Amino acid sequence: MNNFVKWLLTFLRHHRPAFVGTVLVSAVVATAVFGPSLLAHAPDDVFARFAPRSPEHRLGTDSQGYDILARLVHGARTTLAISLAAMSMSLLLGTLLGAVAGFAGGFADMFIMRLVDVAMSFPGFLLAMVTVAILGAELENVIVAVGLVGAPMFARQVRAEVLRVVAADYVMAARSLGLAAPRVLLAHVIPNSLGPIIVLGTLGMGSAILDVAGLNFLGLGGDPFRIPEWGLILTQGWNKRPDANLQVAVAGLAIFVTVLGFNLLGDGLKDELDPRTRRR
Amino acid sequence: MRRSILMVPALLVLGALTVSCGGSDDDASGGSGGIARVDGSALITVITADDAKVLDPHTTSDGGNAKVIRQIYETLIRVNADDVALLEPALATEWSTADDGLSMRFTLREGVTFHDGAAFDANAAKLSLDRVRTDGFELSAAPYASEFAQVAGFDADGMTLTMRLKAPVARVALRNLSMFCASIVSPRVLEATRDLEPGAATAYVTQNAAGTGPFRKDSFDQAAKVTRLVAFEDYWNGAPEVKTVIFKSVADESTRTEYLTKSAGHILVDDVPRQNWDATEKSASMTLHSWWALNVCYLGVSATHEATQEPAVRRAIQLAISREAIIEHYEGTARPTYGLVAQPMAEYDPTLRVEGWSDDLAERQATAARLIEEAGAKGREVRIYFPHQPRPYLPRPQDIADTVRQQLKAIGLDARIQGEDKNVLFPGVVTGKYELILIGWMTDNGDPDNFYGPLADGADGKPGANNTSRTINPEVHDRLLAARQIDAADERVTAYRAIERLLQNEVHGYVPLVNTKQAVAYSKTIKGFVIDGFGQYRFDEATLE
Repeated sequence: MNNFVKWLLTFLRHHRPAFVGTVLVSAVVATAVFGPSLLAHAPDDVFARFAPRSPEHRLGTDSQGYDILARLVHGARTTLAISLAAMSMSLLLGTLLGAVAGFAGGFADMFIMRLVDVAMSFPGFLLAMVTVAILGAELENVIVAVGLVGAPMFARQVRAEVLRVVAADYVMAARSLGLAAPRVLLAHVIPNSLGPIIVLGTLGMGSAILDVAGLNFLGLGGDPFRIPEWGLILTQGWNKRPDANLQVAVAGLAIFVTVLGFNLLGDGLKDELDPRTRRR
Repeated sequence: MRRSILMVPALLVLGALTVSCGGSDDDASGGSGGIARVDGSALITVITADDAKVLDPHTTSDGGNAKVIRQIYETLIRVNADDVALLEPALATEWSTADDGLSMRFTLREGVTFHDGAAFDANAAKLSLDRVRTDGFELSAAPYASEFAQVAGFDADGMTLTMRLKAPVARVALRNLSMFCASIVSPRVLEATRDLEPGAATAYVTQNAAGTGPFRKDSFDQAAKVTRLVAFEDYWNGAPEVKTVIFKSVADESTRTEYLTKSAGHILVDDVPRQNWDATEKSASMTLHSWWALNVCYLGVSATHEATQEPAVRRAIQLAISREAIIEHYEGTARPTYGLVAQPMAEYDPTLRVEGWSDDLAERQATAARLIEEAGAKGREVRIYFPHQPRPYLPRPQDIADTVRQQLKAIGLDARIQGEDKNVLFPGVVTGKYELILIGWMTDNGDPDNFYGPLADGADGKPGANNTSRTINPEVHDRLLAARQIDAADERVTAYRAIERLLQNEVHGYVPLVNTKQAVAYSKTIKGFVIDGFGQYRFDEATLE
């Protein structure tokens, strides 16, 4: 553990953008975890509509009389949770497919990778829109759509990583000792391919947040008032009165800052973990 | 992975994209060759929210189509532009009702020709009116056939048309003849459709649209959503001075708003976004004309859906709603309404309130919460369905649905909102799957029967396609039949007010919410054109400065 902390501190000290990213992500995560308990209002408490900024309502109220600050802070929680769920789904599905393809080779490899090629030949966001349109405009389906669309990227990366690891001596050793294939895969191959997966997962959080917010902005997330989510808060303030612009601005800013944080952190990790670009 | 970073600004300008999509519509029309050769001085451009897709008056009920149909075709009689209670001659010059009330005779206007050169006579009128009722024709859709169910048939004799009725319902039957669906289409066009499939027939009539109206179809570009009409030089009331009218659909609200400030050309903006009314009123180049529309926005409550089948639950919903909270979404262009019939009409009863009413919302919601509790419906999940697209009576469907939800939540129901495309939602009413639906109605003829008939009644014991309560009360049904036969204005008012009371206190099938204003903005250079109470335009006597 001590080694990890030491490594982390060195990493952050030497990598300024990653440091900024860590600060931003930590701030958003802290808001999501502790923010709601510090608020005076619940996100579905109803007040006067379009109330201006005041000590009572720091960011005013929206067209429905909901406190914008309360929805924004609760939105941090839901946005992160939804994006994490979507990204985790991409990661698990992609890792599984990629590992199987790389490890099994032959027909399974070809079949899975051609499937991945087909999926990646479509613009990701468009594919997600189509998926939600087929499944129905609900927040749950947004998670599924974003999760599915993100999976091919993981599959491709993990396959490449597995191909590298499979040729390593310790895997040959494990195999020659007669270990079953799933055991070799889970105990030796995947753990040793984790580095790039972590990088991809961090960067994947950024794009998942954007995709989720984008789908919700376009009205594919269903009921925009049931659960506060940043994309929904943004779309809900859109095209209202001029004095509702603050709502759009803060929701957009929240998305911007969070995605920036994850991307800076991910880029830093990539530089650090990638043997080709590692500091020497 | 750089893609992710690039997408950050992309999301921030997503909205701007929506706007520019609307803007590209503009380019499409400006670039099309047809418009370039037009004499700009005699051209009116009408900007509408809904686009026209079908120019066959007998097969559509869509408002976007109606606006164009009204320019091309005419009806036998029409509603007076200033007073919807009055009817005036159009293609018929005079009419009379037989003593037994079972037939009506129309004398038709002489010297009228269709755009395709066919002559107008009683046979031409009969052909169109038979087609609306699907008598001898098979149609792709016949949304108004039920309005003519009381008509036994038409007899043509030279320039005299006789309408035979099954019951003495002359008042309603006459009103129905003024609706755009009763437009007279050229007999040449209709005869040519006889061998076609119903869908192909509608397309043929749209393609070859020929009526007797002041403007004839020149081009109809569905992709660009532009319809171009030119003056009919042989119009019976003299050739219009305006030589070209272009209907152009701009669905995006903010793009439509831009037209309000464009000073070039003669422009008319239909369905002005409500937040722009004040600014337009002060504008130097545009005039804003607004009026209380003959509409109602209401919450339909199903009496047969399992979530709302108990009368007590439906009554609780009636009591729970605060109309004052709902009108806030209309920027001062709506007023609370308490009856299904449009508030500007004499039959509207301003004093009627549902049983157990209190002007104090908290008190009313307490009563409602008790009703819900007693019915064992506390915490029950109910869905409020609404159309995604704004309607003239429902400018911000989602926000209004949420406000209704807040109020139902206050009485202990677990209310959810559920948006659907209007083209899916409205036809779905007939399936009975919506327990609550946010919807509205605008009359096509100004008769109270045009509200209660479609919205609270049905035929052959089955609720009509627009009856959101999905039930027919036998007493209401009988009273509606009787009311159709009343001619005297004061008796009619009494009869329909009694029906409204029955519906609210026995059926509990809807909650009237608001009556709204409608507005049209037009360049100050357009003079002498007419907007009737239904929001339809007449440009035949318009002049341009």
